[in-house]
Amino acid sequence: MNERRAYILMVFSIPILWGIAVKASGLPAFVIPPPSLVAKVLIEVAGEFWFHTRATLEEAFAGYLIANVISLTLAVSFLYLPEFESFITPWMVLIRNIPFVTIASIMVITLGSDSPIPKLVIVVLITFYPILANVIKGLKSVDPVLLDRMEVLHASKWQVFIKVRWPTALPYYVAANEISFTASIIGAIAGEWLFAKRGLGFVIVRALMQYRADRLYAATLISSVLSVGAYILVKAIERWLFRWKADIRD
Amino acid sequence: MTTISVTNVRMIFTKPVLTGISLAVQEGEFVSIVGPSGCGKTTLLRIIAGLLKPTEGSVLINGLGSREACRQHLLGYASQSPALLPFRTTRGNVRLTLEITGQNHTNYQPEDLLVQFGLEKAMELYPHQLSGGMRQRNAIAAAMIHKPPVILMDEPFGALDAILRNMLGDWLANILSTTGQTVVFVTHSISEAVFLSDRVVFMTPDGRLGTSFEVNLPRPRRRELRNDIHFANLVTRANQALDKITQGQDWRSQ
Repeated sequence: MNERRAYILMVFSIPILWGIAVKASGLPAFVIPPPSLVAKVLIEVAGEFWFHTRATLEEAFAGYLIANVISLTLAVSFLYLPEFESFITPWMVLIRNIPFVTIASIMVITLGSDSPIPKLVIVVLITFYPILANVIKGLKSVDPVLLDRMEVLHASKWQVFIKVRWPTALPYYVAANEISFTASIIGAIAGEWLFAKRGLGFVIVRALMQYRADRLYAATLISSVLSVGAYILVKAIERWLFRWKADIRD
Repeated sequence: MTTISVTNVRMIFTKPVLTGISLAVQEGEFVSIVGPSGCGKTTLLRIIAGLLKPTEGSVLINGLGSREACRQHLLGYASQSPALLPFRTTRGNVRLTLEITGQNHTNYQPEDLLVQFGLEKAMELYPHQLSGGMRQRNAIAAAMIHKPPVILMDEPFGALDAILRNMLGDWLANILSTTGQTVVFVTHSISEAVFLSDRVVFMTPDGRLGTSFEVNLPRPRRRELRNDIHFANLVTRANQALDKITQGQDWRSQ
C-alpha cells in the first residue's frame, strides 16, 4: 500500500473506530461524544472555530518563521566561525534544557498575559533546535572531494556556499521541517493553553472548564488536521524539491 | 618548456611523509607517479594542486605558485572518488566548473565535451543513474571543460574493475592525444602508467623520488598496444624497478 492510500484509509477509519469506541464504552455523549455530535458543533459554531484556528495558525507561522531565521543564521555562523559555535553551544544547551513553560511564565510576569511574545517564545523554543541541528549537519556533510574541486577552481566562499553547501544541506533542512513545522502548531496550542485568550489552546481549556466534550473533541480534531496537514505539506514540498531522486525513492 | 616545477619539497605531518622531492614536468608531457601505498603520492599531487602547503620547498606551475595557478584556472583536478553533485545532471556537473570559473558558455560547450566523452545519452541523468565508469568520465569532463593547461589525476580509475579500467585508459589516451595538456597521474597500476605516460616516476616507501624511465611508445596509443611485446617489456622493466624500490619492505606495514 502506498503512503497516499494509507492516509485516505486513516481518514475514513477514524470516524468508524471512534463510533465503535463510543458504543463499546457505553459512556454518555457528554463524556465521549459521537462523531456526528462533533460534526454538528463544528458546523454550528464554524465561525468561532475559524477565528481561533486562524489565531493559532498566525502564532505558529510567526514563531516558525522566527525559529527559521534564528536557526539558519546560527547554522551559517557556526560553519564559518567555529569559535562562535564553541561560545554559543553551552547557551544552546542551557536554553534547550530549561522547561519552556517556565521561560514563558517568566515572560508573562514581565510582559503581561496579553502579550503574544510568551506564546511565540514557546513555538520558537520547540521548533528552532531541530532546524539548527540538521542544517549544521547538512552544511558540514559536503563530500571533501567536492571541496577540493572547488578549491582547485578557486571558488569563492559564497560560490561554495550557494552552489555546493546549501544544496547539500537542503534535504537536511526539509527533514527538520517535517518535525518543526508540525511542532510549531503543537507549540502554539500549548502556548494558548497556558496563557491565551484566543486560539485552539484557549478553546480546549474553555471546553474543559465548561465540560463541553463536543467542543474539546472538535478542537482536537482541528488541531490534528492542522498538524497532519503541515506534515503532508512539507512532504509534498520535499517530493517536489527532490523530484530528481524519484527513482531512488521508488 | 617546464610547466610544473617541484623543488625540494618536504612534507611533515606527524612524521615526514615527503622528503626532498624535485620534479620537472614539461609542457604537454604525461607523467605518472607510481609507488606503494602510503608513500605520499597523493600528498605530492595535493601539494601540486595547492590543496596542501609543503613544510619546505616550492611548486611552480607556468612560473606561478599553486594558489595563483588555481586563481588563474590553470589546473584541472580529478580524484578516485568522482567529485559530482548528486542533485546536478551530467551536463550540470560539467557546467558547474564554468559557473565557478566564470567562463563564457559559448566558448566552452559542455555538450561537445560530453559527446567526446561518450556521455551524449547521459546528459540529463543524475550521478546515481550513471555507472561507475560514466561517473568517472563525468568527473574528468568537469575537470577538463575549462581547458586547463595542467590536469592532475589521483587514481581516477582506482575504484573500477580491471576491464573497465583498461577501457577508460584507452579512452583517456585517445582524448589526451588531441589536447596537448600536461598531465600528472597518480596510479597503483604499472601497466596503466606505462600505457598512458611519456614518463613513469617511482616513489620509495619513505616518500622520496626513486628512479624514473621514459616510455618511448608511439602516440596515439591504441588498445592493441597492450598486446605489443615492446609494451610488455616496458611493463616488466617498470615492475622490476618497483620491486627494487620496495625490496625488504614488510608487507604487514601496508
